[in-house]
Amino acid sequence: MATTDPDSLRDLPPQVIRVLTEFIDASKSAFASELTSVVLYGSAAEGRLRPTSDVNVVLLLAQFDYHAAEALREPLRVAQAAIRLSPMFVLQAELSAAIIAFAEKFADILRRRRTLFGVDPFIDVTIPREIVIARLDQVLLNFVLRLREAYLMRGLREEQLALAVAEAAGPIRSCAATLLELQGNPIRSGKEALETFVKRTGNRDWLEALPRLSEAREQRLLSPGIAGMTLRQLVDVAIALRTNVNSLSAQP
Amino acid sequence: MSNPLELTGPNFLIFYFLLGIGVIAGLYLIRRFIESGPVPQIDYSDPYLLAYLRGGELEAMRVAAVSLIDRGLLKLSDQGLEIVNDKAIDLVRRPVEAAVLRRAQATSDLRRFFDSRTIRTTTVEYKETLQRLRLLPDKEISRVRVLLLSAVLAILVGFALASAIAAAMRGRYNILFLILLTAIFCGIAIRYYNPFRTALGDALLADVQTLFQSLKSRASMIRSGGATGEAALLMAVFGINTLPSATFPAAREFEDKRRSTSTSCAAHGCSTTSCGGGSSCGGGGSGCGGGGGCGGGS
Repeated sequence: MATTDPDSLRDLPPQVIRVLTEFIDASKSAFASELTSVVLYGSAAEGRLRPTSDVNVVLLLAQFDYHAAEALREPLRVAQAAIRLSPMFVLQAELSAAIIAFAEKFADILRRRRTLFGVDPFIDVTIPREIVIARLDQVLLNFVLRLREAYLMRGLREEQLALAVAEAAGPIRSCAATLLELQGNPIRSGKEALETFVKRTGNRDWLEALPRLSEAREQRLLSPGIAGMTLRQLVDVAIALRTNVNSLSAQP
Repeated sequence: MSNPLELTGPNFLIFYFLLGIGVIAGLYLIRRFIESGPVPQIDYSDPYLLAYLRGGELEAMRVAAVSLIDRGLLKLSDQGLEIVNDKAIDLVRRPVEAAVLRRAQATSDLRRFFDSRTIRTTTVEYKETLQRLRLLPDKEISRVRVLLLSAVLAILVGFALASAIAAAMRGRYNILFLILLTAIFCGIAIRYYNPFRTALGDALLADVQTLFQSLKSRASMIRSGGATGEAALLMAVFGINTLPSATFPAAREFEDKRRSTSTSCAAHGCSTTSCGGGSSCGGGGSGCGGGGGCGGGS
């Protein structure tokens, strides 16, 4: 059986290393040989974990035995509480379909991942370009619609708008990274990808809005009068991203 | 060095003062040394075990009640605590949860709610587990603590008595300050010789609090409803008062109102009625058991 690579966690905070190691051990114990891989992805894999970040992992399984999985309930609740662990349980047989269905998410996983246990299931994975384009367009459109709703629903409470900005930062950064990759200019970090995209547009207001995304994520608050404007700018950036996505051809 | 008993007046008082500080510090350090060791592993997934370690049986029961309210199995009304549905008893897994729900069937009076032997019995297992791991004092540790206290009292009282006799032999009887100092040092020794947790228990609690520090820092983001274990673990590890009252308004009723000065009233046998009801915990000092008292601090 493959083992957990201790070096793959070295640059993470000690509590995260401890809880994640315990969770992987509990997963190995619960699923035994049915567990083929555990892959860390997102900001933790990038080494940019913040206190409010989720720790995202994919557990790839040959089978999901409900009886065996019961042993993982308590460790999962502890890990979720301690480090915001967010696991995805995917069967090997479902992986291809999941990659197609959630192409934008898996494009992010392909960019930012670390294999913590077993073999890397994504080593030879390529997502068809036209599927990534279609899915990215769908994600961005959904993003715009949801932000408009949030702007109205939460608009009378500025702190709620700041939370909406905080929640939107990760997805829009990931979309920007996927777009740049499709444009042949891959940047691993979503934050840097969004910055690159905005700089390219030359829009100064959008550029000034970017630090506020980090501020909202870290402090969960923005200065009075700022959150609503930032949310509107985020919608505009997302629309600009979509325009770029729609101009992409299916061929690289 | 000359015989300290030959010292007189302020000189002897200074000597005795330093002796008292040294003896008290020695009591603390020896106790910590004896009770320390490698930090054991405990079951972090049971919030009531962690709550017991932090605050004793009453705290475990309070955390259980707030957790059940959060999950919608128990409700806090003007009449007090009420079970939402009798089926709830069969839905919970932990004995202390079932006992709290059964208690809610019997009485809704919040002031007397936790004054129940049935609920307390369900927390005995936690106490035994923590004692077995040397996180709470067992009989052996308690015996050693009493021996240490006896030695300290013997030194303090012995020196004071010998000095008083020596003074009397010199025809001096102004020993009021000496009596005062002796009483103060003995009082401090009695007050602090028997804290709720062992040194190992303190170390483990600090370790658990470090582990869940991130949970505490995002306490305001925790959602009610019990879908995750976050609220229960936050209460268990850091106290009910760390739950945001806007999201968990019922938690207010169960906060330890003496939290700023105390941790473990319940563990030392304070009136559970007054603690649970949210009014001030009566007793203090000797009323909190063996002089160990409410002032343990977390």
